[in-house]
Amino acid sequence: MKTCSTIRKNIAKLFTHKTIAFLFISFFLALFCSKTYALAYSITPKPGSPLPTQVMTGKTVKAFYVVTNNTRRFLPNGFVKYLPPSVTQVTSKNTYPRSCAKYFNLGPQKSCILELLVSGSVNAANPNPRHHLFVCASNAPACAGTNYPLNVRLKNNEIVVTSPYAYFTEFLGNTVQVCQVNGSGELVNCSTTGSGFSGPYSIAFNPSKSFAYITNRLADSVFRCKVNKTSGALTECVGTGSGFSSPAGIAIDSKGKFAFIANSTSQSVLRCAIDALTGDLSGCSPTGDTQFKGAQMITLNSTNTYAYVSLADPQLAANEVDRCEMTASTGVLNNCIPTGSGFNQPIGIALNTKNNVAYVANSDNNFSSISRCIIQPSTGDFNNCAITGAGYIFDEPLGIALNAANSFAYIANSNQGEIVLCKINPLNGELASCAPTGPSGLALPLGITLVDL
Amino acid sequence: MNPKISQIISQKFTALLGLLIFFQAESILASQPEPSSEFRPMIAVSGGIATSKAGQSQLLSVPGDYTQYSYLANHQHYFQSIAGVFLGTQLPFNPSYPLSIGLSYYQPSTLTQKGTLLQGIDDLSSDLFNYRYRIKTRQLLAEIKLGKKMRHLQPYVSVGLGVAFNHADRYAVMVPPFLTFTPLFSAHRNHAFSYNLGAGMDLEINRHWLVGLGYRFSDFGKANLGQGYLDTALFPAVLSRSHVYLHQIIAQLTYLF
Repeated sequence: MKTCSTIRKNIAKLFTHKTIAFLFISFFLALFCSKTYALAYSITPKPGSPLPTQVMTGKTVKAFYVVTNNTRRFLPNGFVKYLPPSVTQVTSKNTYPRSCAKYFNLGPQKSCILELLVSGSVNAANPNPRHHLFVCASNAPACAGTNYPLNVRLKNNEIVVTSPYAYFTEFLGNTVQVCQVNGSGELVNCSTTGSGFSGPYSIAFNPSKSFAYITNRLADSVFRCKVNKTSGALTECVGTGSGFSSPAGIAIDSKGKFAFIANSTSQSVLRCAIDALTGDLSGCSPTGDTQFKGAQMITLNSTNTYAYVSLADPQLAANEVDRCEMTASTGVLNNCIPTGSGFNQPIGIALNTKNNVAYVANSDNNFSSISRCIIQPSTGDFNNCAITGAGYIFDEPLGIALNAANSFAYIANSNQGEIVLCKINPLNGELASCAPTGPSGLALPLGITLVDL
Repeated sequence: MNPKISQIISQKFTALLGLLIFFQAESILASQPEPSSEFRPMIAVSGGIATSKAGQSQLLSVPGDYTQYSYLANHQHYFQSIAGVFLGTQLPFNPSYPLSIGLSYYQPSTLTQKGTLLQGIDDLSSDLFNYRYRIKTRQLLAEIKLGKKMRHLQPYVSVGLGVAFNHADRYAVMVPPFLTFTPLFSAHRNHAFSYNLGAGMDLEINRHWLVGLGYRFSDFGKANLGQGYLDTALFPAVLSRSHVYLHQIIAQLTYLF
C-alpha cells in the first residue's frame, strides 16, 4: 500500500488530476495495487484509545477517532453528517486538544480528533447507512465512512450479560477446542475451532476479547485469530510476530499492550508489542534478567506488577517457578527469582483475580499434583505451597485456569485426555470435588483459558 | 458523435453507395427485361447474434463538489441475441432487382453496461468501484431492401430509418457497506432516431420462400439513466450512452405471397 501511495504521488506530479491520462493511469494503477480505500477523509480509532465494546445502562462511554483530510486540498466545513443512534458528537470540553468541532477545517493531510459519546447499544451491522458514522464536507458530499464501526453492547446494571467460554489446546491433535460453560461450571457444546495449528500449546486473549493468540510450539509461530463473540469461534488465524523458538506459554497484559511468550528452546521470555487495531505482534525481544531454562507457561497478575514463569526440564535441572517484577508501562520484566517450593515439573500457573492465591500444575508423572500457594501481596512471592485437590488422581496435569468468579478451576489432565473441573473453597482456596468435564479422549490437552465474551 | 464511429459509418455508406452504383451500372449495360406487374406482400422473420461495447466512458462533475466521478466503461464487446420481423411488399419493379419496402421491428436481448467508477477529489483520495446497468431497446423502422437476382442467389442491401425505444435501468454500484456515498441513478425511458444498414445474400428456395444471411449495423440512438441521487441530494449529472451501436449477423426467412 505504501508503494502504491508513493507511485500515485509521483504520477500526480506529472499530471493534473483532470487529464484523461491521469485518470487512466490511476485506473490501471489501482487495478494492480492492493485493494484499500482512500476517500476524502480517513477515520480511524485514535491510537491508545480502543473503541468501547459495552456500556452500562444509564452510563456513557466515549469513543475517539482520528479524522484526517486524505486529499491535497484544503477541505473547509467538514462535519459529522450521520451517527448511530445513541451516539452524539462532543463539541465542547473535549478530552483532547485538536478535537473536531461541529464544523471543522482541515488542511491537506491534517487531522482532528473526533470525540463521540455513546449512551446505548450500537449495532455495527445496522443496515441503514444513516445509522453509521459518516464525515462529509460541503465540497465533498460523497462523505467518508470508517472501516472501524462502533459495536457496543448494553450491560444491564451490574449484571454482566456475557457468555463464558473455555478454550483449550490439544497438543497432539493440532486443534483448539471451545466450549460453553454452563451455570454449574461444566464444559458443554464443545467443538474444534480455528485451523492451521501445529503443536498448539497455550492460548491467551486480549482484554477486549477481539483476538486470541495461540502458540504453535512445533512450528515456532504464534497465531493471531479473530474471535466471534457470538459463537466463540476463532477465525482468520494467521501468524504474527517473530523470533519464536518452541513457543510455549503466552500471556497478555491487562491493557492489551504487550504479549509475553515463553520460548522453550531459546530459554527466554519474549515481550512483543500489540497493535491496538490489528492485534499484530511486533518488536518481539527478550525480557527478564535471567535465563529461563525450560520455560513453559507464563502468567501475569491482574495488576501487571508481577509475572510468573514456570521452568520445567529434567535435562536442564529446571524445576521451579520464577517470579519477575513487571513494569506495566513498558512490559519489562526484572528481578526474576525463584518463588514457592515443592514443585515437580511445574507447567501451568493460575492466579485468582484477587491475586492472593496461586495454583501450579505439577506435571511430573510420578508426582502429578496441583499445588496451592498463598501470594505475598508486597512481594508477589508464593508462600506455603501445598498439594490441593487430594482425592482426585491427576495424571501429568499441564494447563490450569480459573473462572472469573474464582469458584472453579479447570485442569488439563493431559495423560488422561480430559479436562478436570474442581470447585474452589472460597475461604481457603482449596480444590475439591474434582471430576472430568467436557469431552473425553482428548489428544494431550494442554493450555486452557476461560473468557467471558 | 465519436469520430471513429463517424468514419466507420462513412465507410459503410461509401460501400453501400458503391454497391448501388454497381447494380445500377449493370442494369444500364444489360438488356432491360419487362418490369413485374404485381405487388407481392411478404413477411420475414430474422434472428441472429449482435455485439456491442459494454458502455461509454464519462466524466461527471458537480459545481462546488471537488469530487470527480469518472465512469470508465468496460470496453469489452458483449454478445447478445437479436430477433426481428418484417412486414412489407415487394414492389412491381425490375424483376432482376427485387425491391421491397415495409415496416420492421427488431429487438435485441438486454444489453449489460459495465465499467468502473473512479471517484475521488485527487489521486490520494480516489477509489474504484464496479458499476453496471441494463439497456433494453427495440427498433421500429421503415425499411427498404434492394436485391439482385443471380439465378437462385440474391445479394441485397438494405437500409432502415425509424425510431428506437430505449430503457435504461437497474443501475448498481459495488461499494463496501457504509464506506461512502456514490451517485445512484434511477431508470429512464426515451426514444431516439434509429437506423439500420445491411447487406447479405438471400437464397431463393422456390417462388415463395427465401432464406438469407447477412450483416447489419444498427444505431439505436441515445440511452441514458434517469435522475441521480448522492445520498439524499439530487445529483445533476446523468450517466448515458450517446449512441448504442450493434453489429449483427442475421439469418432471415422470407415468405412471399
